[in-house]
Amino acid sequence: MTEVGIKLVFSLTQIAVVLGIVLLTVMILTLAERKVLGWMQDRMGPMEVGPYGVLQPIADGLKLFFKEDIVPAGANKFLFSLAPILALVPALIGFAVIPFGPNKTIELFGYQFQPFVISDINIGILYILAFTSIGAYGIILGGWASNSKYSLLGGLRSAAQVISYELNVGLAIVGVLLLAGSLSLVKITEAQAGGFWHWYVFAFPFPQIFAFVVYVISSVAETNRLPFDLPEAESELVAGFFTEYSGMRFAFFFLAEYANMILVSCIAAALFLGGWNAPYPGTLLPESLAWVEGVMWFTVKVYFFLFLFFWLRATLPRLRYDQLMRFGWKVMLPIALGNILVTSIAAYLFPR
Amino acid sequence: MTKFTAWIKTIIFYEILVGMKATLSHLLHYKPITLQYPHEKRTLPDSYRGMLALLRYDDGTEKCVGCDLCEAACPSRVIKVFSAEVPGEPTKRYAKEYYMDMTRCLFCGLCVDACPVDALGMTREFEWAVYDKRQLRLNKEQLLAIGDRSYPVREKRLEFQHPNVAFFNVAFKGLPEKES
Amino acid sequence: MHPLLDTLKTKFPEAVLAVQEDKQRGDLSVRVAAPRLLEVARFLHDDPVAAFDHITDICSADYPDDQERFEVIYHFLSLPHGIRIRVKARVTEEHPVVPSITSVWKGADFMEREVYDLMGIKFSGHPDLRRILMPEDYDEGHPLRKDFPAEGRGWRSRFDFLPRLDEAPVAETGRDIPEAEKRVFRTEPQPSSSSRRTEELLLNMGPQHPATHGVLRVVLELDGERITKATADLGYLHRGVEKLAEGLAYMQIIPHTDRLDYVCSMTNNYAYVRTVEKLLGLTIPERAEYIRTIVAEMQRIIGHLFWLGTQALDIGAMTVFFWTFREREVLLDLFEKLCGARLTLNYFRIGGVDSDFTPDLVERLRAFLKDFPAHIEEYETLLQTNRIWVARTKDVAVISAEDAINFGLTGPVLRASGVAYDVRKLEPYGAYGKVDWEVPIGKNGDTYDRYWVRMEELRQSSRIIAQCLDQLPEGPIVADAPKIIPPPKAHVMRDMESLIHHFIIFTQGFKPPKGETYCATEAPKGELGFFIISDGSPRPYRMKIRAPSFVHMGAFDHMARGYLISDIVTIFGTYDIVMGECDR
Repeated sequence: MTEVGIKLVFSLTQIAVVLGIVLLTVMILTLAERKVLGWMQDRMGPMEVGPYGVLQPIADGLKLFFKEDIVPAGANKFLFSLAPILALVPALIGFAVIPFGPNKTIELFGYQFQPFVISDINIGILYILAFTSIGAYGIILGGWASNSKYSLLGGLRSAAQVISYELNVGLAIVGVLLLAGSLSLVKITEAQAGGFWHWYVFAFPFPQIFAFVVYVISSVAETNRLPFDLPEAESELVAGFFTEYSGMRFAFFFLAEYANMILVSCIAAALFLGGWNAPYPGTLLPESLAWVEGVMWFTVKVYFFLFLFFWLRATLPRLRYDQLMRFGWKVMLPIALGNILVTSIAAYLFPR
Repeated sequence: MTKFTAWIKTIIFYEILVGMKATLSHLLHYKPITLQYPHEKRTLPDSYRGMLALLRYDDGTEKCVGCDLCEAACPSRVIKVFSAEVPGEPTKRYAKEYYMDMTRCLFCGLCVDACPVDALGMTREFEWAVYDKRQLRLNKEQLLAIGDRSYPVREKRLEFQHPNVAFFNVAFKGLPEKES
Repeated sequence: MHPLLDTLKTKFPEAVLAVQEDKQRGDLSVRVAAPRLLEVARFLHDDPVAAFDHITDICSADYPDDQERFEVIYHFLSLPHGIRIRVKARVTEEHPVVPSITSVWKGADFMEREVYDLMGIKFSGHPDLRRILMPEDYDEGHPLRKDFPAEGRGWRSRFDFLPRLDEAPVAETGRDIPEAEKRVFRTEPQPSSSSRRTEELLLNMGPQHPATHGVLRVVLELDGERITKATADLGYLHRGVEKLAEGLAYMQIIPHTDRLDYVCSMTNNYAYVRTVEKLLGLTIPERAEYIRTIVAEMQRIIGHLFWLGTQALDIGAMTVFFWTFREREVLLDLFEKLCGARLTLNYFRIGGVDSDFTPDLVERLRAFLKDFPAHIEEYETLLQTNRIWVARTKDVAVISAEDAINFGLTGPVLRASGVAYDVRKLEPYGAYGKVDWEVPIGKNGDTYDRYWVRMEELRQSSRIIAQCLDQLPEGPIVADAPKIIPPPKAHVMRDMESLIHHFIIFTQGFKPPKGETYCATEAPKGELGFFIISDGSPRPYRMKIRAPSFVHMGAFDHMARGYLISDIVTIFGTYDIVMGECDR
């Protein structure tokens, strides 16, 4: 009984901390995105709330919290309320298997704990893929339940887009899984230790660079970010599936989008860029503080990806629906499949 | 060969990388062009066509003689002048009442062009947002107040002035002679 | 007499009632009998001697005292011969019917609807004769008729703009739109081979929509995301400028033209002022001509930068928008320095310009021109070769040269289809004849070519400005015409004679001779033309604005059919449409 109790308390603490960090990152991201975009566009971004606008996310949050929550006439109330939750929960749930730092165990009251991963399940990556697909339902239902033609079109676009690009995400990481021989994110990351040439982007016997590119592009598409933000395209569909949402429900969609961005960035860092591993062998800090360095490298990598998201948004125009589909099925899919083939042969010829 | 380089450029996303370089260079050489408007303000040129104002002579008397030319020149019937004789001086006229409906004003400056005594001027005021449109119907006192506020010094050198700005006290200043 | 007019007279002895050549203004006009208009029109279009392939405008005038009260006035342009012709037909009030020429020029569709809407003349054989600028349920008459009051009629004219707090809000009527009203927006039903029932989705885009560049409403009939019919609903910004102008002196109309294409008010001023000067037969001092050319080209740069920014923003490239606005700001500051305003400039005067260039201004403009090519290249790094941009614009909204001419398109939209028609080259005005520049021509008539043409025009404009600045002569900036142009302010305040002139011009205005004239100017959007009928009074009897945006919207359905919703915003962008000008 005490064992379960202690483990439960520890897990809950871990979950609370991770959730807190994720939500904090979302807040930072909303500000960072506007600032980075602003700087790239020769303007300042938010400047009014707090010094240099740093308190803007809080103001935004308060505004959304106090806004009137409108359910449009003719909307399906149940699904309309369910959709934001369906979008947000899968985005947050994926963080359960992400290793944020070195795989070490600590002993507390005589029990073993892994402090940097909530739950190291051996099908980690499958678990994430499974849950992120559920997130698509939130968008589709939200679009459908709003009783608006714009939302409906946004939802339909999203359905097609998420299905096509989820496939590419799944296929792109198969190469990594073949090389690592495991589905656990912790094991995959551990296998990349010892310098950046061991990262799967560059690794022997077959560098996963193509898979990496396919993964990055597909994950941008999956999170509905520019240049793939067709479901919400503000100049065509006026925000698409969440046209009719306001207040906290809108905030949920918003949180889900940013949480998804963080999640795919974490996966990209863990699978392709060696997760918490530094780009040089070993660690610079002494053994007892090595985890600081690990966590730091992981954060740097994740933020690099997040910056990439902003950067792409500042640079690229939006694709058209048919072009998106063509790109997904005719370009990304063959590359991903080819990568699996070549990696399998390489892995067979040079077994570890 | 060109085909090969074009192909290479396609697969490495060359032109997108070039674009990303351009946006990144703006991030690194950060030179914002924004002005934080309510906190910082632009310096407006002298010829700025802002809020209209009625002006006075040095001694404080109104310049306006109530000739109605501004009313005639206005393309959107902003101005309404009621002129009358100056009490006790039957040869002189003045604007007894003077109204401007600023909600309709186009800020074209034709009234200033039309005024033969330069009693009208365009100021650099532009922050005239109000909660009730009726407040934008200005009477003579308000218009004179804007003038007093905007042109505290009524002496101005003619050669520095822009045609849009009223000439001040031109009748007493050294004017260029009219060529015959 | 012009040989063409002779040909017309001999060919149609009954249909052609009168011909007239205005040698001074270079206008040809023909009066035809209304019932036989179509055959004359067809001859003018088809015959290689005439080859009037481009429809410029359809206008109408009301003469309440005449027996044949209404006059419909057509303007055609022959691109091969480079001449314009004006065809007029009179109809009576009892039977105001003119044969429609939509079968000859497709562009006549919207123009005839406008005439029907504003003057009440019916066009027999028109496929879809509905109101276009006024609301469809407007039954208070036709606003441009002389017996219609300028302040309007109907509940809208009595609308109290100040909301009253003591009145209860109007009750919401939550009714569905009846099928009959939706039918206008649907395509003709196709005979279906299967028993499966399909229904197209009607999507209402606008008048409040981020990509419609103002208050444009488009009803799309969608098959999936593909457009089967696009019906433009104009008139949300209709202010009746043409009607207003009938009550204003010629000088007072200039600030109203600022509000047509509010992005490029210099060119509107220019177009209007040129028409009045053509009517008056006024010549302008050389310095004023150069200044006009310079500011018109600055305005073209501003307009094209605005277009580039918004088009890129519609397609999703946000950064270009801010970068273009950065350069636009520099030019707007120069305008502010020059004439005291940034958008509604009111800079042109009949016979000249308002104020002179100062050396400081010239220096700043030169500095801008020095950096500008680098900025154009900066925009191009984000767009020109970007595969997404190319994919989004190549082969989108293609219009062939024949169609573009037939629809009466002008400006970059026409030139991208490979037609080298530019008013600045065809009928050089200002200083355009004295500087060296080229007209960029596209090939395919798709959105990418229109983008390319405009980008080249940015370069050509800066070339024109640079040359004009080098050649800028000294001299007066206003013509010497004391009957028309108010004397300088300094003189008004000094001598009696000037004061009297000043009073007369400002109270009565000047009286141009009786006559009518059309004058076209190349605006950034296309050919902006003013047609003025003068009855010898100080106010125009009728002023018609040939707005390029309006004519371009006529080809909207043709260009949008078969493309996707995402392309609709591209087409809005590629027209560079401004509703202030389109709805007037």
